[in-house]
Amino acid sequence: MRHRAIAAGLALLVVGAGCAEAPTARSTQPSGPVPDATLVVALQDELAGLDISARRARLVELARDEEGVTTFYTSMTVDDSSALADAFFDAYGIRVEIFRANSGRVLQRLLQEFDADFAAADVVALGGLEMEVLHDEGILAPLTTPAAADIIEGAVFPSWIGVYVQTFVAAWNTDRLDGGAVPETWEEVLTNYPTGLAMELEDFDWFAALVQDYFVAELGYTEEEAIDLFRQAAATATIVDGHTLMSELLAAGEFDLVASAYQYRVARIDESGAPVDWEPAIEPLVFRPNGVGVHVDADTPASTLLFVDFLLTEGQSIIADLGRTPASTRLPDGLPEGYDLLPVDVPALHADRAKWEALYASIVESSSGTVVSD
Amino acid sequence: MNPAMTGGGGALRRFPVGRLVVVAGALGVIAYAAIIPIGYLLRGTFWDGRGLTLEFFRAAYSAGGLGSMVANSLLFSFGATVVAVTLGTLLAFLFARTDVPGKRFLFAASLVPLIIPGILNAVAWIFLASPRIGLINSWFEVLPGSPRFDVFTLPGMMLVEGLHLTPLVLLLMTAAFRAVDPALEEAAIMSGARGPAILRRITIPLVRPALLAAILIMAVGALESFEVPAMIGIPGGVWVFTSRIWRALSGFPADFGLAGAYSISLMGLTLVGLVLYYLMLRRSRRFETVSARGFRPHIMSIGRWRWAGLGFVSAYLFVAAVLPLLILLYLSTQPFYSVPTIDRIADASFTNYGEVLTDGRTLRSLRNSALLGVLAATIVMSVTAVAAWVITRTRLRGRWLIDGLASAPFVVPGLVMGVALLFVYLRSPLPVFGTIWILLIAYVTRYMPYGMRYSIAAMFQVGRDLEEAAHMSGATWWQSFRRIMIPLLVPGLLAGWLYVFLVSIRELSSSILLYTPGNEVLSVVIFSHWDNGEFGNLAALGVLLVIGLTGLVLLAQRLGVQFGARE
Amino acid sequence: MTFEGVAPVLQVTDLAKSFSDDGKDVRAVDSVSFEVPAGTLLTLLGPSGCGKTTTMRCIAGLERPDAGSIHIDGRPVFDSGGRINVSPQDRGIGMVFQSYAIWPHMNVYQNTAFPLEVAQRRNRLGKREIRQRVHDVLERVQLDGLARRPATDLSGGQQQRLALARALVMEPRILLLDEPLSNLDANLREDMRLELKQLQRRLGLTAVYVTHDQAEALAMSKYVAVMNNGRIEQLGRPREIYERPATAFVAEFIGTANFLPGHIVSREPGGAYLVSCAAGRLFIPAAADLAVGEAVTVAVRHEQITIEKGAAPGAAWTGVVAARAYLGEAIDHVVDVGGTRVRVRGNPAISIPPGTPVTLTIAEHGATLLPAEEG
Repeated sequence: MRHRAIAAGLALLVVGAGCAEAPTARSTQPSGPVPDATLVVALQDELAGLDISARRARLVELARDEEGVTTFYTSMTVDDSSALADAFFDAYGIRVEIFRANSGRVLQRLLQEFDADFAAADVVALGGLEMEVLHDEGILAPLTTPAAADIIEGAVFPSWIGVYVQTFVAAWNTDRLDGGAVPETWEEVLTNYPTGLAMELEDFDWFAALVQDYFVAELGYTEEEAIDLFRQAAATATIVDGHTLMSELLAAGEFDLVASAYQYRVARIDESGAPVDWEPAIEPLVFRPNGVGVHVDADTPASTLLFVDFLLTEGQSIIADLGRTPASTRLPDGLPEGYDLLPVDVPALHADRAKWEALYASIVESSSGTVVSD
Repeated sequence: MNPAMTGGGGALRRFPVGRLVVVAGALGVIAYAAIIPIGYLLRGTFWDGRGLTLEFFRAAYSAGGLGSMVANSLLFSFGATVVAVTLGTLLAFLFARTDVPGKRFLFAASLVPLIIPGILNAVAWIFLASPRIGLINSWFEVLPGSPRFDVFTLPGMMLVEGLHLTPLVLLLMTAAFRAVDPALEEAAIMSGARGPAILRRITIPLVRPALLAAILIMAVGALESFEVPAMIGIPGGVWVFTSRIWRALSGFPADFGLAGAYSISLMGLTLVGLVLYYLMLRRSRRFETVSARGFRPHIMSIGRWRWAGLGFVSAYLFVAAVLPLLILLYLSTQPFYSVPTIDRIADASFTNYGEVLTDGRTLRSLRNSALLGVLAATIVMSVTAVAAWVITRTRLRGRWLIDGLASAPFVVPGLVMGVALLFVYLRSPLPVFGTIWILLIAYVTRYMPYGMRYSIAAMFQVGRDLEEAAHMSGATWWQSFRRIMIPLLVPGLLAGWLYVFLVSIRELSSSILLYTPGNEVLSVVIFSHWDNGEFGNLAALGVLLVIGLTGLVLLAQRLGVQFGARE
Repeated sequence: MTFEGVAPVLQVTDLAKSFSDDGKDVRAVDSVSFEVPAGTLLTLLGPSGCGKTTTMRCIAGLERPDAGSIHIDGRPVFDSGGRINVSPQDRGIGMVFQSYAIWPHMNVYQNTAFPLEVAQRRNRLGKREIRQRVHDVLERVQLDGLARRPATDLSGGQQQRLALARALVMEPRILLLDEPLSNLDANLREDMRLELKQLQRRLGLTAVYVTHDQAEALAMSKYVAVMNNGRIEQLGRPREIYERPATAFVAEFIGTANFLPGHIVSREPGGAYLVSCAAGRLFIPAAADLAVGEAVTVAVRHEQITIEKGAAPGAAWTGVVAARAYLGEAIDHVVDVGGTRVRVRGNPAISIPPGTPVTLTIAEHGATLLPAEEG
């Protein structure tokens, strides 16, 4: 009987694990977009050459037969992404389901699903660096659309297109820091507030841009010196998982200042009457495009492309109304004006991602406000 | 093993077909549920696609900060256990054995933290005891040189986790104190022993097995807990196993091998705990029979100490239930958080409640949670009831294996369970991924060990002769199981059902990894409110959830009382 | 009542104790009074719920009576009037519990030594003396040699002895025994009954014994108090209780009897009455003052009647055997006497088939007069 039980157990184990390779054996997908004629690839071939209104008319027609739901995987907060989904539904009658989590978690989910040949997502909108990873893994279909015509320079890639710009700012609580106590430079931000500073858990792109293109390139630090500055700041700072949470806790007075808030969020909280501010800004302001792309296995290709076009055109003004910075050059609400701006060089940082991500992780994860530490 | 059973297939031949089907079905569910995550974990950690490897362990144990992480984990678990077991045992003793006033109400009220999901507890404590915005600190601010409570420290984490685990100890130890034959203590009185001596030499040694079990369960619970380490530990820079696993899983590329190595280490620690527990229990094994029967416990008159007892219970209730609920209530009426003042309280509005109650996602998650809670509790209790019957009533060889399998998920942290199920069911021909059924599988697997304990305890309460009488009356196995055993087991099984239902509704660490759009559950929605900094909506939903669950528990208790009275 | 001039060790006076059960007050003990002289064993006998255990727990101090007083050696340990309530630890009482209450986490030696180890500091013995005392008492109950054995490994009889040893080791003034034999099987029970009685006699223990088993009560005790509904129905020597039950309850509870309704026909010289009952007439001695024609109940024990085949004329009762039952050491015949059923217990050698006419003879002093049953 015991043997039988053990045999049955082993059999189950084999069934359970056998239908998959070892989870740690990373699948080796070919680099670059997969040329497979998936639905969405085929549809784009068919649409090639159409101008924006003809393309839209055709998509509306095709979408009518799909009767499906378009699934939107994004790191955009639920309130904003559902505002876009609702407007899309009002315009085209197509429902959009949203899966929202932090960039890293959405990326992770997409990779796992793709590894397992499971395609839940149709449209994906994440930070530029995450979009690059998806591109490398072959998860994004090549994307060409006339709707990209008005998108800012440097934000149009083979498989994804910038949809809004995320600007990082240092922000502070005005009740806690009045006039003279407000920092004026990044060095002050990182050195003058040993206990009142908060840093985000995953902002390696902001970190890499500041270290390379500001501290080293402009101020003449060595890379080690610059990294050390961040390391010392993080050693006593509070580490927060998520920008939105960080801004809300700043408003609540949990921190004196935060190093890398999203500018739109701080501005929005400021307007609601909470004691936060980011101006006069600590320069340079690091910014990064957030992009939209199409999942290579999208099963409702017409609705999917329609939603992408929508995000790049009508959606842009909604994004502006939400206080965010749209990627369209047509709208006045572009990047904060009159400030020294520092773009994240997405392709370059993507190539160097492993280094900077690990470096930033080691900095924030060694933070310890407690007695127990190495 | 047993000479009567060595006749080849004798054991099986004596199993009627109906019984065989039910038993095989239940055992199949248990084996399947237990082996999948653990098999996955072992394979993923020691197999790199080409062969066996220890590379992931090497990586895990060469990472910086490892020493402090292990020390933090152990200290956190130890501290939370000390808090929970000390408070819970004291409360249980006061309620079960003394004449402290208002016991019935206070006992029920002391269970409230069990109803508050871990995530709400963590959020509440951040707003109570954060060094800057904490309500408690703002009270003490007026006193110069007063202490500042900082929740973002190891002691803070211990206290928050410990307070949250206390009601479970209270439940376990109340049952233990009630099971002690009062004559054993009266015999000590008649032997001339006085209060403290009786407690030290008779009562405590008699409840030692239960106390050991409570310590083990709390220590493992704290080691595997996710909410406090993630929401309080990470900002405070206090890293433990679960937050490391969480990070290993959210980097790019996600490091499953590393997460697996940490998980296996965590399981190793849990197993060490289990072994220690059994070694210590062996010394007490021989008087296990003591707790088989219920007695009318001996209620001690503790005189003026009654008021000290009442004070202690009230202080516990204030800190563990009233304060967290009050801060949630306050948060739920505010557009954004600021330290409570009279003006702010006067400005209270119910906007957040309106938003929560009209949000389609929230309502959908409510439906999903309720459905999953009911189904998980029902499946867990039915399957474990059958398994417990096999373990306690048959001589089937290898029945120890059933208990072992059913208890195995106990050592798998929720996060790891989530990763394992995600990995397996993304590839499984069973189309459960992308539906709420994958959450059901997670809950059933995670709470099977607890269901098993409830079922075995219930089975011990029903004498073997009652079942034999049914057989002698000509009932088939299934008839006697359904018409005799189940009704008699109902009070015990119902308690287990309620427990599994509650913890399923609270479950976050697996759900967060397994949900798909459209299949959100309440805990996930609450977590996403936290992520989005929507404290008002979070608190409003939390308050509604606590009220709803409290109502359900009260209703169940009322039903339970009737079930009890019928016996 | 006072017993033969010996000073009582235990005096219980007007003891009363109520419990509230579902809001109703239940009088568990209702003005109970008795005394126990030194070196004697008194049994509280009665059915379950009669108040015997509550009475014992009041004496032990485990329950607080509502009223009355308890004196040990003339000193009050409880007095509701004088507001005295000595704690159980200070009453000098040893107790054997029904479940034995052997501590399962201790071995035989530890169980026995416990009372000596927890004694108040000024009375505490040295380690050596404790060992000696424990050894002595274990020897006395024949458990010497098992001292290191885990208590839970003992048989029922051994556990019972261990409970006794633990109660005796501190040399109490009074020993309380709460149904100490009820958990043993029948054979062992009779052996232990004898052993217990010998031990009590030999050590000259003053003891109160609670049981619902009338045979046990009669065999063990010097005095028996039969209790019912919280009151003592009758208190006396075992023989007295058995042969001259004061009430129908006592007669019925102690042994087995036929109860026959009847009335007084005439008063005879020498304190006896001629009574007519359904089965016939008979003379019964009685101290009570009864009027001619008054309704009474006649109690006749089954074994006080002899049965003979054939109908003999005269004063004896005649009838027909309706049924018989073989009991091993005796045989019961149920005899129909003019429409009334009378049960007769006799020598198993005499077995008479149903339908046979028989004559019944009642032994001298074999019948007792009781007040008429109500209703």
